[in-house]
Amino acid sequence: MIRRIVLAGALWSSVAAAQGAPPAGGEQPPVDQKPAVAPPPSAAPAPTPAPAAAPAPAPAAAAPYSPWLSPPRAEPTPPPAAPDAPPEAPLPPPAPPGWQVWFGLRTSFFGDRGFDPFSSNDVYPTGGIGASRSLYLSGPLSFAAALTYDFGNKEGEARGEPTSLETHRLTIGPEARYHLLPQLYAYVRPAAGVQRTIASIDDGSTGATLAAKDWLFAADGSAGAAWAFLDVRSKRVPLMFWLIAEGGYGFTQSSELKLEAGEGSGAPERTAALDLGELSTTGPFFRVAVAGTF
Amino acid sequence: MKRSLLTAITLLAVAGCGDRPASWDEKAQLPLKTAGLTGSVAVVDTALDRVLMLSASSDRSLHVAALGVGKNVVTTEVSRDSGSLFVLSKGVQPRRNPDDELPSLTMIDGSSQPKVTARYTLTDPLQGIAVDPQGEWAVVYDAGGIVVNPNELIFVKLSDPNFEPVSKTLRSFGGRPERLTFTSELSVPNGPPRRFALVETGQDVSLIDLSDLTRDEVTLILPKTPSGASGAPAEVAFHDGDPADPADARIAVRLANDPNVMVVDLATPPAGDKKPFKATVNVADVGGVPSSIAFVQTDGGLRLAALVPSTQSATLIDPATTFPETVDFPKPYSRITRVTDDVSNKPQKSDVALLWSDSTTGIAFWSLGKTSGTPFRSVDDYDIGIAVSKVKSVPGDQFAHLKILESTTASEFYVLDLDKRQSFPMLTNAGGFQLGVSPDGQRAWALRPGTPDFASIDLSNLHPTSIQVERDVAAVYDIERRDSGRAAIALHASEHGSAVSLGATVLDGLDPDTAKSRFHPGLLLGGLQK
Repeated sequence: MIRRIVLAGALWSSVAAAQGAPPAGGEQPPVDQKPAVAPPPSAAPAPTPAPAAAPAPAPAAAAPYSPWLSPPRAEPTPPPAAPDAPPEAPLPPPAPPGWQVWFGLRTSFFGDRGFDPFSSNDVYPTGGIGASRSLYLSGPLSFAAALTYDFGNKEGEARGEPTSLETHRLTIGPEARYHLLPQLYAYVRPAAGVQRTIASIDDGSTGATLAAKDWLFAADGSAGAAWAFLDVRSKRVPLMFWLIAEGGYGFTQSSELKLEAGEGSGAPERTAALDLGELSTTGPFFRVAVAGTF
Repeated sequence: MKRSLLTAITLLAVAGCGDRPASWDEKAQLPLKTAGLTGSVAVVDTALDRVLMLSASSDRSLHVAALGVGKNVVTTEVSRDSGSLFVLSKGVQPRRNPDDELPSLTMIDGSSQPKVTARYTLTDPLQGIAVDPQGEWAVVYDAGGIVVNPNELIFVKLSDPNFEPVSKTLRSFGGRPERLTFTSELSVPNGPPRRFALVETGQDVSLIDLSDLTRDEVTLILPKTPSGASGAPAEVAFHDGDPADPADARIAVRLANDPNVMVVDLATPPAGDKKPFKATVNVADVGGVPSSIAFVQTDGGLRLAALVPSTQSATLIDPATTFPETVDFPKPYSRITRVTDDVSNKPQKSDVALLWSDSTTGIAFWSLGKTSGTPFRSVDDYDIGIAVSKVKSVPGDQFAHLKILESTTASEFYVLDLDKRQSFPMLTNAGGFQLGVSPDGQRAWALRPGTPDFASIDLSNLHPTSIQVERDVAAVYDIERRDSGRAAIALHASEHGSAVSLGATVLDGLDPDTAKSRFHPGLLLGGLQK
């Protein structure tokens, strides 16, 4: 396993080095150069490099950036003897993220009247996790596939009766990125999926919890930006942390709020559904997230 | 560009953080005021200034219609035929802005398709309402506030939804309106027959001509009591007399703690006087403090019967001469109910009355056709073992001959058959039950509030059906269904912490089988989504 990470790190470094090369057309955005890594201190003067200490293999530097390519199964290069090793080369500018995993908070605004029993305002916060994978790169543009899961549970009161709205939202969709800087890109992301909605009330007249559960079609359209705020890459671990902010509009199919007593809930026999109208968890949202890329 | 973006974000935030309607935070309070109407059950939701009208269908579904009424409901009243609900609201008090709502009276149709039929805006926040049994008038009275006119009455003609309420202030001699009684049509010497509103204050009675509200009322000053205190009215009665004689309509007033009763003739005014009548007052001593009065027809003509429990007797007063005749009773009956129209073999010229008392056991039938000369044989008493606190009549014609006799202390009640002169005891397993009769007059319902038990009594065979539902019952109403048949609606009100909940069990009113009933939860949340 460690070996694979080392391999991936090597590939990442080589790919990044390729991206960091001067662009032919001069369209590559300027990059911040990381300061050169100082050579390890040595008590003896630096020896003249031995002829055997060849530079790094060239084929990797010549390969185009292909984040979706599997790491080449090249034989690992044995590390040079420490006393003879040249000073380490500085890390290249960060490349567009290949895998990205994030977690964050999404705040939605539901103006629908069906949301009123569950909240004293229109705000519905959810937590979420997601992952994306770059699939294609062309100049400053890249495309990725993104999978998002949002979970929320808001508790409220309806005339003093405890209520709860729980949602599980799973969407998938493409993400188009425009890389303004190696550490900054903007994106748009349409997504579609499903939402599980569970609305419930602790009804005092029955002494039971009544609930309405639905699977609903869901879709999101969002746009945002990601900024690499922490670069902890090394040659072994190409890890970077990003701060993501996005805004958008989420659509969810409306559901009927017919809250029913479940089996064994203790409600009277043949308890009718409590009809609270329709619920639409459609509305604008914004999200902030922290992501890690590798 | 930057500013536009900022504005858009601000607008989004403002729009997104909107609060929900305050109605979701308004908690109801117990006790909930409820009323059974012909085709629906009314639940007054005072916290939200609305009335929930519950109606049922044959599939035991429940329809909830939330009808808005005036702000700050003060009181409600059901019409005698259970067809309408009247809701008196005082509006926003004190009013600070021109838009603040004025007091109002809302009239709601109580059928299975309930709706607001009229809303009358009032000028002053009053707290009392009296509804005409004939459904023609409503009178709002009893002012409250820092400066009030307690003698102001506001008349609303219910037959006209666009009627502009008429305010009328009674001439005050120190009293203020306490009770209102609407008369039937009474003949007067000058002019067509008309109806009156009899307003009892603490020390007088006023006659208001409902055919002309601009006419000054006639105030009857009551005689002082033997102790010298101002006489106070305790009860009024009226009779049109001989239909062929326009000058013999009479009004009687029973005085509190006074052996005298006052008989007022609506007599012919002096020649040249264009007033419709001249009130002629006569006072008769009945030999003790009467507990109840009623005009009755005897074989000797119209009499005013005054029951005097202290002497175990009744005094029959000839209203024309105020001549008294005493009829002794075997027990000190204190209440009289005329039941002539409810018996199958109705006497031609005389009345039959039911005598009862809440302080002595038993009842009696008083045949007034045999009064003169045979006073003792005219009273047939029955010992039913309970002191009767209330006599309920059965609506409709089919079982009008049945009366339900309630007692507040005993764990039993009686169904009295006026035709057969028989009484049927109905035993309950505990005291404190409530009795109601269905508006169609086919069933009675007995309920012990706060328990899940109630019962239906089929009045055709007096067969009781005990019912136990799954939650404690606050009230039971028998209503007409939206499609056909009848439904029984049992209301369940409960309090959990600060939240008040209301549910209902819907049963078939004609076959109240709990194996087929349906429970409807969360009724107080009805109508908030729209």
